[in-house]
Amino acid sequence: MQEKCWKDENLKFLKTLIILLLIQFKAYALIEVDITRGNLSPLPVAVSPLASDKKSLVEVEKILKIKDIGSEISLVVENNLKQTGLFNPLTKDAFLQKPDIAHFKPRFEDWKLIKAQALITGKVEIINENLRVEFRLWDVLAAKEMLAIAFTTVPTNWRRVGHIITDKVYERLTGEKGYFDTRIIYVAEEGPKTKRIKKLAIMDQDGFNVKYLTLGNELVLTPRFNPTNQMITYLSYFRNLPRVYLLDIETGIQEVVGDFPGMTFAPRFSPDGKKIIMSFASDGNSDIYTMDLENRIVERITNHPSIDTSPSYSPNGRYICFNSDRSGYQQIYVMKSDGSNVKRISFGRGLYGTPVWSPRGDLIAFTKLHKGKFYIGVMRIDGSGERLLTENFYQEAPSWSPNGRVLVFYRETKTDEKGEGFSAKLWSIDLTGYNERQVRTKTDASDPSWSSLLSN
Amino acid sequence: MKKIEEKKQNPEKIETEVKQVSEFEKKELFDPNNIAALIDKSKEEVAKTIQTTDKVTQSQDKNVERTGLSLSEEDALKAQIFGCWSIPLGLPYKENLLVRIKLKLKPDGSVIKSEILDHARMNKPGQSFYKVLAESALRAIRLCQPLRVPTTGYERWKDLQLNFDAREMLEG
Repeated sequence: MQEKCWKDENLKFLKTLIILLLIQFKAYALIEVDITRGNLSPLPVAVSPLASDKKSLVEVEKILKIKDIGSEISLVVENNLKQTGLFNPLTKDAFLQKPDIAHFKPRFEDWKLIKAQALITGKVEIINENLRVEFRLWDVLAAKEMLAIAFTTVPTNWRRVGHIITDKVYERLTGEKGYFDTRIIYVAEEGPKTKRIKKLAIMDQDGFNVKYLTLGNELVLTPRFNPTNQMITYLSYFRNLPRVYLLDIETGIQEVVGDFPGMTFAPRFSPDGKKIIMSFASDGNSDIYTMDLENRIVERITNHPSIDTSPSYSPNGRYICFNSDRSGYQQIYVMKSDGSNVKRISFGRGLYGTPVWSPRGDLIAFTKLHKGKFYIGVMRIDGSGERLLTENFYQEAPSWSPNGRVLVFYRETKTDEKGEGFSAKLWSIDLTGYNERQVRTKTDASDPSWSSLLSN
Repeated sequence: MKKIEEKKQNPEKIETEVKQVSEFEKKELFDPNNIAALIDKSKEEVAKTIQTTDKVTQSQDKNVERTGLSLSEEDALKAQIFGCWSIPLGLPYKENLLVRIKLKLKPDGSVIKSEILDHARMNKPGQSFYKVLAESALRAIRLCQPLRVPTTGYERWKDLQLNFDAREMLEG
């Protein structure tokens, strides 16, 4: 009897529990809402001037002749972020908090008030004649620190510090590596179109610190960076023949690559920096060759009675894209790095040239000529998804930023009836196709090539 | 075989390298202590909810049975969050980038607790894109709150899950 009673009690309890659970299940049926759209405007970010003590300010002014080094570094960061098109640096006039206090403990309400979503603060000091720069990145809405890093270097490196800070901030906020602590090599051009003086030049990616690497005595074309060190390869003239050269940027020593009986051109390094791939032309035919920089062994990659040129390796070194007129028109092809398995990948209308494999490996950038207009575009490595990013009278030679997000190329303007008005300038465009900007250079400029990250 | 010509040109040496000396006082965006506090708070909330559900009347029960938001309610909420969410444009469109955030809301639409359902992905190596997207979604919620929720039927929407999916926008 007692046992039955206990069983009944248990059953009753179980029933109540089930009912309660059911009621609760009904009450808590979770509503899901899919958010598939957002706002594409750049992220508002406040770049506070970096704080500095009086002693450091005096010392920096003595060394660099710069009055407020903290403001100058923050300006480098601000300009870099602005150029990306992904960030909107807010005007400093609206900042309510002093730089030193903001760096110590930001009053997030003040930064929210001016609509900042991210905040960069920092401090600059001179310690034992070295520059010590620290910075913090803050999530204003979460009221949290996201990143805090310090660097030391010689004072003359202050712009590089600004670029490295931008790289760190960019990576933390976008998830992909930056491209700010990099340099661009290009051909600086001066003089009338018929009598141009062309020198190899190198500058920071933002156009500062320009240096000329050659004296302008000989014509130079198509400089390309070695992805692993400070060597470049380019085309110049030797005994009136265009030849591929190697130049060590740090020592200034240059040499001719290989001993080819005809002209060599369109050079580029392999991703490991150990080989040069280029075109060699002889008797009206042009094929692709590689040369190993250690043992100088030359290898023929293509063997076709057509013009094969502009080779570029995939980042893993297993494939090569190039252009060829073997179909009757200039088109883009992909092959294995030993020259086997050649496949045409471009099938659109017009002529395709200067293919360059993205460092990310997913896209190939190219120049396209169609109905008298030049386009810079990208396509997937199988040729699908062609997108034309920019159109103009004359533009070519795209080169990828090391993170594969931005392309730098050059654009020429038309000369007028008097033969004047010609100019060549560097431009950049990102993969969205919306963020097109001129890259500032002192002289006319062409044939840009983007370096890898220097601080890797 | 090979012929080398050497010429001195203008050498250009990179200045002494920049050394990273420290990552001082680095704190993660998601403070574990804070999460623990939020979890405790959510327990309190659940307890309160159970108390109130004990007193459910017939008329209230009808409201509970109506699941989901009406189309106009959902549209209002979506439109509000669309405006607050700055999609990080550097993200690759090909990756699986769906961030699911569970919210516990107050009757006025302000957020009591936000929880990323795949939180483990946040700090996994190679998942930096996911982390960036999740942080942007959390920023959107913070920026938007109080959320534009219906004026009635709190029981219905006090727990809400937002699924942030940027693929459509990034593929553009």
